[in-house]
Amino acid sequence: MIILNNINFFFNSFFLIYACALFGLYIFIAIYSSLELRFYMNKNKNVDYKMMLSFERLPSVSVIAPAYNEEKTIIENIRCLLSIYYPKLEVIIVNDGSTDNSLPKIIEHYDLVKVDIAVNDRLATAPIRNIYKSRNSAFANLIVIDKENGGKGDSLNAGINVSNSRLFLAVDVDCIIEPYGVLRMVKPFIEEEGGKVVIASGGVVRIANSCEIKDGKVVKVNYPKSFWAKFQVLEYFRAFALGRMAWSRVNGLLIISGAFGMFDKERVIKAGGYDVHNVGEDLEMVVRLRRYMHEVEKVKYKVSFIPDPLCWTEVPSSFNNLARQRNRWTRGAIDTIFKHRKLFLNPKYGMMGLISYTYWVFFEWLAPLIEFAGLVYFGCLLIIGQVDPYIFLVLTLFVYLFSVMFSLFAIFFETYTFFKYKGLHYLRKVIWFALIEMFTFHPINMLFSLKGNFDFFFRKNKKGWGKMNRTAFDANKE
Amino acid sequence: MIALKLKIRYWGARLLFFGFFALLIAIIFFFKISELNIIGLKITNPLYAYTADLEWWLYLLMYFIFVFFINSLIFIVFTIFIRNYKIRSKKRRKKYERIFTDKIMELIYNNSEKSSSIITIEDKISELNALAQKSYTKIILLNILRKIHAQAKDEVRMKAAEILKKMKLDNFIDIYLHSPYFRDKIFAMKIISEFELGMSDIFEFEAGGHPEYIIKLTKKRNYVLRSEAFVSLIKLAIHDDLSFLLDRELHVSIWDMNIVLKIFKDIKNNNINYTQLIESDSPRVAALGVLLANKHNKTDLKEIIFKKIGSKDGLLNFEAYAAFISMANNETDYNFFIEKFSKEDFIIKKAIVKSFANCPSITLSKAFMIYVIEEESLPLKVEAMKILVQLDINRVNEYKNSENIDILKARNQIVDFNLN
Repeated sequence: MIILNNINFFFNSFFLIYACALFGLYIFIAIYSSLELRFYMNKNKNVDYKMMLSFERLPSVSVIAPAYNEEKTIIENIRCLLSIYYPKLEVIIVNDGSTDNSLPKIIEHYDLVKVDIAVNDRLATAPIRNIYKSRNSAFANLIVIDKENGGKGDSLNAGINVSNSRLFLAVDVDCIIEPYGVLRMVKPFIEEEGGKVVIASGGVVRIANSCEIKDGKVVKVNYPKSFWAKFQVLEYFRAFALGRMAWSRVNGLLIISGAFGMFDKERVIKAGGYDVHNVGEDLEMVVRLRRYMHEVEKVKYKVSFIPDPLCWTEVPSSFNNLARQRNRWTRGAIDTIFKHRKLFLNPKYGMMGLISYTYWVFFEWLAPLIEFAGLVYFGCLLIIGQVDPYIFLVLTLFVYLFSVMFSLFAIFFETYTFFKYKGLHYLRKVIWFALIEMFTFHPINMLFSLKGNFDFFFRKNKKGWGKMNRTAFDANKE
Repeated sequence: MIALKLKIRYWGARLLFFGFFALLIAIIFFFKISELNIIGLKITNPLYAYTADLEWWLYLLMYFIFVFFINSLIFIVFTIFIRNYKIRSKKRRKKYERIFTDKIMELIYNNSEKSSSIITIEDKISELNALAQKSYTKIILLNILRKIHAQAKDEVRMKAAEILKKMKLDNFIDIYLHSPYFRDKIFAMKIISEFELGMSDIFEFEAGGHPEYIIKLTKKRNYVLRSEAFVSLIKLAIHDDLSFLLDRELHVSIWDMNIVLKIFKDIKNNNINYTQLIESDSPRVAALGVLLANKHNKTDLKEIIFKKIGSKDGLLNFEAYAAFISMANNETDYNFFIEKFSKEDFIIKKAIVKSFANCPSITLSKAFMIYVIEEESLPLKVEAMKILVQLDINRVNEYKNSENIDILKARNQIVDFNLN
């Protein structure tokens, strides 16, 4: 009995301390992010981004968009990318060995011809079959690369090889980018806050499901109709508005969304380009780039973050697609964590080694595993009759109300800052989804993550992407 | 009154925030005691019977449950309130923007046509004044005037400044300059520098003391405020010799360089001490000096600028080359350039080749492009071919039969891209 009590005490204490640390960190990050976001809003309130168009010293930018079997949306997607306002912009579409009609469609619509382009193959990639440019001068800044299938990272590497610019913006081809999105992303690179070299900047990605899209622009923001996408709106609010801003401020940002991230091209090449074997190439790229800065260049640098919603993307709206996406994210994160284990609590890597990486290990990778262990432990206690219903209810209420409060704060902050969703209907729905999230989306997400762990450690397919079905943007769908 | 309102809002919000936290902390203690006595006022804890026997950790959990619940309600109420406020204020802003733009354009147009009498103009100004009673309407109005003033030229620009003068908003701008919110200070500085308040002929008798205060702002820790203050001082022709850039503590970013460049783009008669800037210890300041000297065609500084070629700082090195491209005019310059160029790394080389598109000397340009096509790597050949095709298409055609595969590739690419 004494042994059982000791075991109980150990586990109870462990779970309580872990939960308190997690909640404490969430609150701290949220408050810090909010203050930082307010500063950002005040700072940029009177900035006229159009003025930047007349700047004489602006870095050139290549938008690199890998595409795989995107025939339903590819024409509209490219039109959107071509409509971005930036004086020195080239758009590189990388057809990653699509098996559908993506390429013939692009060739026909944009009047493309094969060109004998000089490729600077500093990064190894799958063989490039052909490179195309348009005969129509309206699309003079469009380059289409047709290559053999090699995955997203490989496609981005091919795009980097062909790019003629100083910076590149890695995007998902189905993203809708705000017209001044690139200008805003470039700003930190030329602003050089605190005299630091900016090596990358990330932007906020918002959910385009059910939004009205016209001529490559989001004209009306709607709350998604899909059950799963509704939860992801909340999730994106929390992750982008209440998380990354704080990490960026302490210069500890480890992830820039693969759907929308800008990088210093030369530094990415020197760091070795994207890891083609990692399915979480966005996280891995940032970690490696930061390591390169610490180990090789050894100068003050910054990974910047822009909190304005600049990019809209379609998120998984079906259970299966969501499962595949989360599984891939988990495997990518574990792969990155193991590959860069040298960083763990290593003061040589500054904030990244001591705080950010350690946070990722304990609170991003291990959190679902510890949560699952907690549930198993609770089940055992229930079986042997060691659960006090009163304490159980209090603890459950505590966790539940914290999660609800955190989500409601994220909703409030979105309304206070960017106010993209306006209807009362949205407000009612999003509050309702915040109330039910803990008993619906959250446990399912945990299971996806567990499956990702299982697949990574016990299955051979740790590098697979899984199939994601695309639908053309349509507000009435779902 | 406005100043007081701003101060109350600023400090009130902070006080409320800290008060709320203090209250949350006070509640922890309050519910654990039976009664609280504040200056004779007794407040009984209604939950004492329940909380007295609770273990401390359970009590804390209960407390947090209470806090989370209250906060959740607060966030819902605030979200609804903010939502409604934003919708209302957006509508209001749009309405006033339309009204003010119409009225100002009418005023400028009629005024410049000289078709209306002085009385009508005064009436319209009074009308504008009547509409712009509240702070937010004044801000909308000032922003419209600022944009017109910045974008328009000559007479229209003058009229916009005259409207501002007649509206007598100096006091309002002054209050915003001294506001505790840094966003308000930035707004005020933008207006002051755009209209040169206190400095130009139109405003010389009003709004004294602005420059002194703005100089103080250049010492602030907030880098956004500091940067805006410098821009304002340059625009106000107070720091137009740019000597403040020599301050070792100051980091000049590419953003700052662009802003300075924009301001001085067309002002060739200025007080800039180019030599001092070019010889600065800071490579960024030196690069800006070179850039400005190049823009203002200071060929007499050629020797000092050429010394910067080969500098370790990439930007300074590039700007020195770019200046050379504009200023070089003889064979000695060219030979010196080729010698230095061949030692550069790829990125600098590429940027230099690209910047030759703006070279005034066609002979020099052509000679250099031919050198690059024949001597440099494939990507540089491509860049050079792009420029050569604009200068001498026949020369590009001559490469059709070149035995060098890379030259052929570069030529084919340019022909494919530009001529098909």
